[in-house]
Amino acid sequence: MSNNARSPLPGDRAAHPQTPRQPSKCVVVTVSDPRGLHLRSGRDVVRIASRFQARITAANLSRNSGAVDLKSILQLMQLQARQGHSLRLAAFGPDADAAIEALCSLF
Amino acid sequence: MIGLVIVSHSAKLAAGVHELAAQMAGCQVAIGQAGGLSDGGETLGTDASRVLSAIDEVWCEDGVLLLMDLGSAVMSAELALEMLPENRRRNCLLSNAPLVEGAIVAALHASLGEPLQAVNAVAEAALAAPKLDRAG
Repeated sequence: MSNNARSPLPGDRAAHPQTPRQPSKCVVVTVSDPRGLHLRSGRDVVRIASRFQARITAANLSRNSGAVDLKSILQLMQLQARQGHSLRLAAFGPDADAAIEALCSLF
Repeated sequence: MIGLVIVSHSAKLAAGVHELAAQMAGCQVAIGQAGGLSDGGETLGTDASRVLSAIDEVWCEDGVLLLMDLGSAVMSAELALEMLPENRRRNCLLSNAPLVEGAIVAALHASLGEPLQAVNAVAEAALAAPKLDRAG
């Protein structure tokens, strides 16, 4: 598993052993809203993220937090992201690129 | 798209949770509220007939998810379901989710068009979602 650090779905590998690693995309964004990532902006993030098949995660680098599910409003709020915090967004799946592109502008 | 009903001992709390939920749902989800007793909610408490009215207001075939605060709110919600005709009762679900977090999550996921059981599942996941990161 050591070469599998970027594969988020080990279960999928078992189910489809012939399938190569899924496309993945990763960016770091900075929270620009003076109020940080709050409920309403989080709602918009979840709405957009939910349009994509990709599994999408976010980690708050400024708090050294673990990655949370970007399609969950409660997990997003757990990031406690303030203005200026750096978030690493990662998407895994066939539409990973499009998902990250759509999400970047929301921060 | 499913409907939601907020049941609380306090009409003001029900209204506040409704306000939060409505903002998450963006006007797309019917959200009813049943707060306080039958004196128009003046007195703290819960009333099954108010819950029943709220269900009727937001009723749709996709179902209705009820979110309660605690104690007699749960009992009043159960009573209200017993008062419903069987064909409607089948499509109503009492959620074990905490009221505020549950309503926020349920409203958002209801607005995404998710079915009743799925919406309840993400709302109930709030039971295991800590507010504070104490991992460090």
